[in-house]
Amino acid sequence: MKLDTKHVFATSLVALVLLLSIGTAQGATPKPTPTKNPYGASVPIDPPRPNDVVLTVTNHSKIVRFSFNSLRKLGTTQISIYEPFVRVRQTFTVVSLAKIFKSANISPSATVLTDALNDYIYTNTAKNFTDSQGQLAIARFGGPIPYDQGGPIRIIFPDKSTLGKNLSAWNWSLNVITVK
Amino acid sequence: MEIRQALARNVLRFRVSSGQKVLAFIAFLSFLALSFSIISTNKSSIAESRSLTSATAPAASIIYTQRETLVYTIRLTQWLDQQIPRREVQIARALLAQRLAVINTDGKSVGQSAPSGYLQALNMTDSIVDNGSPGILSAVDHARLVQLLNPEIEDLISQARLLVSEYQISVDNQLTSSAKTSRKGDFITLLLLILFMTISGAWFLWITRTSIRQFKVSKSLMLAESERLELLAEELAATNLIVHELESLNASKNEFISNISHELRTPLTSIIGYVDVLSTSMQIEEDSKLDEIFQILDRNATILLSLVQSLLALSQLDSPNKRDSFKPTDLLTVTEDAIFILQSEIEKKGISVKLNYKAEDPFIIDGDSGLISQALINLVANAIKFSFSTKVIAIDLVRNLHPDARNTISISIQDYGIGIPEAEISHLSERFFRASNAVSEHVPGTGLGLAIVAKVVELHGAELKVESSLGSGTTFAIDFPEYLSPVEVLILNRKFDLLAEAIVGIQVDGQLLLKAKLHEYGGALGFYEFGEIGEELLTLSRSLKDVEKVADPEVLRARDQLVIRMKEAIPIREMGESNVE
Repeated sequence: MKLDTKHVFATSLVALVLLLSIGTAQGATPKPTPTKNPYGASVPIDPPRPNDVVLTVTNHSKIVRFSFNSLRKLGTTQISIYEPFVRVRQTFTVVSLAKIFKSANISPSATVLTDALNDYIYTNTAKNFTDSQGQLAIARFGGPIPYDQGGPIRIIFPDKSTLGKNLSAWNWSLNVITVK
Repeated sequence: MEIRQALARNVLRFRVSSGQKVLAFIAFLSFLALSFSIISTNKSSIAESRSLTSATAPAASIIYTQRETLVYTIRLTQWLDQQIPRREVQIARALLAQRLAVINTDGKSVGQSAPSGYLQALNMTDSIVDNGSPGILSAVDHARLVQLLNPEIEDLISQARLLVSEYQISVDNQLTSSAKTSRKGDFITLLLLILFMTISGAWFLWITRTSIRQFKVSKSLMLAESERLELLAEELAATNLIVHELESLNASKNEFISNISHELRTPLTSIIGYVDVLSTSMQIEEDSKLDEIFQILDRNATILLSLVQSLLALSQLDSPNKRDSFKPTDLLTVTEDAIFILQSEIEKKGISVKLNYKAEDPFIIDGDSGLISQALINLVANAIKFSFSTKVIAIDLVRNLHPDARNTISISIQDYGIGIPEAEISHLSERFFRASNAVSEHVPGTGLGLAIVAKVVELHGAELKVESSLGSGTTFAIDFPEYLSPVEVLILNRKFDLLAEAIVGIQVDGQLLLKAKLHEYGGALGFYEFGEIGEELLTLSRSLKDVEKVADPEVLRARDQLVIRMKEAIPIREMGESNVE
């Protein structure tokens, strides 16, 4: 069987694409949503891998560490909210803060301290967070949330919720939750 | 009257002068201006607070941007010192980008407001970091990048300082301008407030002064009116005293006339009797002169007696409390008695008196039979006196039924005599008045007869009607209100609630009688026979004690129908007064 050079080249190209796609599926890091931040760096930062720790919850002696995978195991939902900082409507994949608090045995009356990657801190009671249906966003439009847009994980609130009106409570690039 | 008019002018017609109106109008205008100014000041205050808010939010963003810039430069330095990997720098840079992208209340992000030098320095560091090898720097890279980055870092920091200072200048200008506007608005408001307070205060003082003046005038006028009223009261008291004295004098006069009449009547009666005896016992037919003397004696004595009797009757009628003697009186009987009394006169003149009435009708009125008899005698006697050519007198007794009012009993006496001139009819009830044609025809009379009739009619609440035609005759008619028993009064006045309290039903020989204890309601205690409607009356009266049923239109309609039927059944027979209980 005589192989046509053109045919061989095309077949090799398809195989290469397949290999690359398999590598991406298994490999490891999902590509971030293309940045729309006009002030971001031209080279995007790779998001954390599925099993990398992205959130540490400390309830005194009890410490729970969450990766994307473990967070997804708590159960996710999709919500569409008006993002008040860039003033556009966005759809997020979220895990409710109530589930996260429950997994760390945080009581409603406990004072919770949320700490971001840039050391920004906001404090309130667990009950106030849950009463306002506070959510931990782990993806946006189905993809990772870029670092320069509040990622990889951030706290958000539904429209018209009580804490949603308080922009200080929307902690970006959340890193740690600690019970005071 | 003058005081009242002055009071009306000063009190009732309280007036605001033209000047006060103008001042009030100016005060109103200044109030409007003040309100407008306050609203404007409020608006500028709101705008000021908004501008402060809009200044605060960007200030926070700039502080955070400053902080992120410092963190980024520190990370850059640490990376250059080979202390941290490139990813750490990239994350710090991403967090700075987050902050630069936040849109503030003014609709702009810090990135948009940043000086161009800041963004250029940032891009320069980006290109150096992007081109650096991932992870910790190699020694070669380190030397190259230190040379490249250090001036950029210094530039970035100085540009960040510029960001703050430019913002500070902008906010200062904004606040200064706002404060100026606010101060100007406050000054105008203060001026308007002073103007308003001054004008409204002046207006208030003016109005108060006017009011006080009017009050003082009104008070003095009222005092004068009060004094006048006191004088009037004193005059009234004096008049009352005179009236009492006059009443007392009148009573004395009546008593005197009554006594003198009694004293005169007895000898007069005796004189008339003896004249009659003399005229019949003596042979006067043969002596025409003597006969004429006796006739003159008899006629004048009779006139004198009539005059005395009339005066006596009038004095009795003038005395108070005549109604105390009223009782149910059968007008038919009284009329028949009057005709009987005048029978000799009637026969003497050869007159025919026709008394017409329905035998089945009752003619019961509430009155004094003596007084009524006197009035009827006067009227019939007049009719006899004035009947010359036609010798007929018609007396009609009629019971008039009125569905919505009290029934009446009317009696009319009609003669066919000389009649009365129309212009004189209204004077008939005056004492000692005599019709001109009666005088000219030499008809004897005192002029008191009809005055007595009018007085009797008035006393009985009746009505006297006179119809006369010269040469054809005269009709006198009296309408008496029909007598009503106390029970009937209650029924006709729809006082069923009182009736229900007053009556109790009892059966006597299978017939319902109602025993009414009406002395509490102005009537006597007694039995009343209500006939067929007695039962219905009792039931309705008892049901009407219930207040709610009184308001029921159906019950009220039944009540009104029963009243009409009972009126038809009147008189309700009284069964006696003393033999009950």
